[in-house]
Amino acid sequence: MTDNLPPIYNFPPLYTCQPNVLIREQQLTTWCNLLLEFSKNNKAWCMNQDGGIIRDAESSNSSVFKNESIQRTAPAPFIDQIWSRMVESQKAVKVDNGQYLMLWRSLEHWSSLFLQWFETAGKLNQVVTLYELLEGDESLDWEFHGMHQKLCELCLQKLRERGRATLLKEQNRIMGVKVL
Amino acid sequence: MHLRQWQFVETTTSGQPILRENEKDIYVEHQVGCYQGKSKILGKQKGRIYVTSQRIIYIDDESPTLNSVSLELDDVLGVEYSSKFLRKSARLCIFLKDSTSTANPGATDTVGPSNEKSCWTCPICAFENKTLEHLTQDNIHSFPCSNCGIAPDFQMIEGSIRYLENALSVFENVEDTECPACTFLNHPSLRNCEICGTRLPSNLAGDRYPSSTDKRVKVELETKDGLTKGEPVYVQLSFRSSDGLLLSQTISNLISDQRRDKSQKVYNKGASSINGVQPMKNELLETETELGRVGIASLEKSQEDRLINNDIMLGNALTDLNNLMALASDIEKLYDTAEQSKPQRNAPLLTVDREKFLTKDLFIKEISRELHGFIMNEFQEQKETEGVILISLVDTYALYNKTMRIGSGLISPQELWEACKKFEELGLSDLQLTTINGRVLCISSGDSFAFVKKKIWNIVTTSPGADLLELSRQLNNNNMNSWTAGIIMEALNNCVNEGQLLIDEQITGVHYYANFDWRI
Repeated sequence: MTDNLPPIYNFPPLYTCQPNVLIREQQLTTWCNLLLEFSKNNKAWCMNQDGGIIRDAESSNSSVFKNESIQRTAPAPFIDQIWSRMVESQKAVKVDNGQYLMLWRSLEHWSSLFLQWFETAGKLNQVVTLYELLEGDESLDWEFHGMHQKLCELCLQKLRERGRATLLKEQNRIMGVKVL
Repeated sequence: MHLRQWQFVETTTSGQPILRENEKDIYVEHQVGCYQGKSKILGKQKGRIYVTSQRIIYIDDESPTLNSVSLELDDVLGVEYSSKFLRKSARLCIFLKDSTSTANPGATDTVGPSNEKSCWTCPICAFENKTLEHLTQDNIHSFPCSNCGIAPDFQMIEGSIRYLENALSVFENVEDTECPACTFLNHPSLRNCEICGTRLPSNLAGDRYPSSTDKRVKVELETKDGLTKGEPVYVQLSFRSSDGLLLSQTISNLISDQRRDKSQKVYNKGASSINGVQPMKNELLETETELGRVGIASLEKSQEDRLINNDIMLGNALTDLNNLMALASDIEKLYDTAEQSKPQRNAPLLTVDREKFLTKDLFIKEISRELHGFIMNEFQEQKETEGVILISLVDTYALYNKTMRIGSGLISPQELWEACKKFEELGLSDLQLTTINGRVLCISSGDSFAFVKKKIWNIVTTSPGADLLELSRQLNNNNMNSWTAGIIMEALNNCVNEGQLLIDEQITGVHYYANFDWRI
């Protein structure tokens, strides 16, 4: 899972919180980039605090913060710092119960991708269920295929703010969307 | 033309005299100028006087290695003190023994036996005898043939006598000077024993090498010294800041002590000869000469020798006992006098003693000098291989106190700190006091901290992940240098704080990596 990461992933000092502030800033940036790279490679839409990937409400035991090959693990306080940096720089969104939605593309980027899909697939002015949008055959070739539902909701919110989408709710959950 | 009595004195670079074996320094006086006769000696007008158990040493303040001279206490006849009068500062007049009158009366003894060796053939058994005497009609009966034991008629052997004078006289020429204390045979041109530092009987050296004055002694006079032949030769010490009374007392005490020591030695010598036998060097030698001896005569002779040896041994033992008793009575006497005049009798023996200095400042200065010499000496190897020295003050404190101050009173951290600050003032510019990381005081030479950092950087780039142990092992290159762990730690912290190095903290310790990725 971590095979395709850049070589700095195997650099031992990466796993120790560097005392020099200026250096630490860059170290955190490096971590953020690594996390995005990791989530993009593995289509990890959602990760938990410990760095495990969450799929279908199940989290895997392996963690991106744990490097087996050089036997290094980032300490928990440092992981907290990394996550708060991720949220600060809008590369991740924190949802409840300590989970993070990974944004290797920004919310705006995703929402415009959605819009593009609606246009090319000719789904404008139709009601499309979220399942159809994320898991359906028609979006199979698109990057957002298999996206975490919560993330999708956030993107659609953006569209709604721009006045392009109407969200259909059922029991407080977004079930479908109509793009104008 | 300078007096023969001026001797060159070796000093450390920090301006302390190098003492001989067995020599102890007793008193230090500051701000002293030297005079020969009535004239000032140029370049020797501001310095320190160290009085030791063997010498009076003048160390110049400005160029200690060039302008320093010493006088042997043996050469000193007496001292005369004149106190301060109007503008004339207090002076100590030191009268020296004349070079011609210093000849040791014992000199004739060492010239020893007649340096002749004669060979003759026994008319009875034809054995070739060798004797150390010049043979004449009168003494022939005391030299029986060593083979058959019969003294021959002088006329009978007259023809066969041959003299081997040269053999011995050559031997006499190269004879080394024997040390009166430890019997080590020193090269004839040495004036003090190489092993124990005792003054050697100087007569031979002086007579044989009258022209061998030490070229390193530089004495230039301002005016004529006013010394005339036949009159007592003297030099003067002028005290610029103190009254010098203590110094003159110390010197006169020393001289009288030395006289007593000498007379004691003579007494001992006498005791050994009183006991009937004379354990003269010559006789002892004779028992071990290579002169061939055979037959009954030799058996008899060896028996005789053994008896004589026993006698000597017994005599020596009795002499030792006598000496011991003499010493005991001496101590008793000393004890009595000490009780009468207590304040006078506290002769400090070790190097930089607090009591020797009138003010704290002078003491600190002396400490500073000693410290400089000590560090330069202790870290000499590192200085040679690396070119720089860096020691934290804490290490210095422990090292210095442990090696130099035990017995003479430890110095406090405050004093050490003050002494280190004096380096520059005293012209000891090799070392300076620096603060690294804004808090750790160190003694360094040059920009040694940057040097250490550079070395560390090199090591870390070649072997990433080195920890403190590995670093200090490589830096010290298998005990070749002495970079302490404390210094390396400080340098590492500095590197990390400046962003040159990255740390990898593990349970096993902190590993260091060079920072290539994250530029500041």
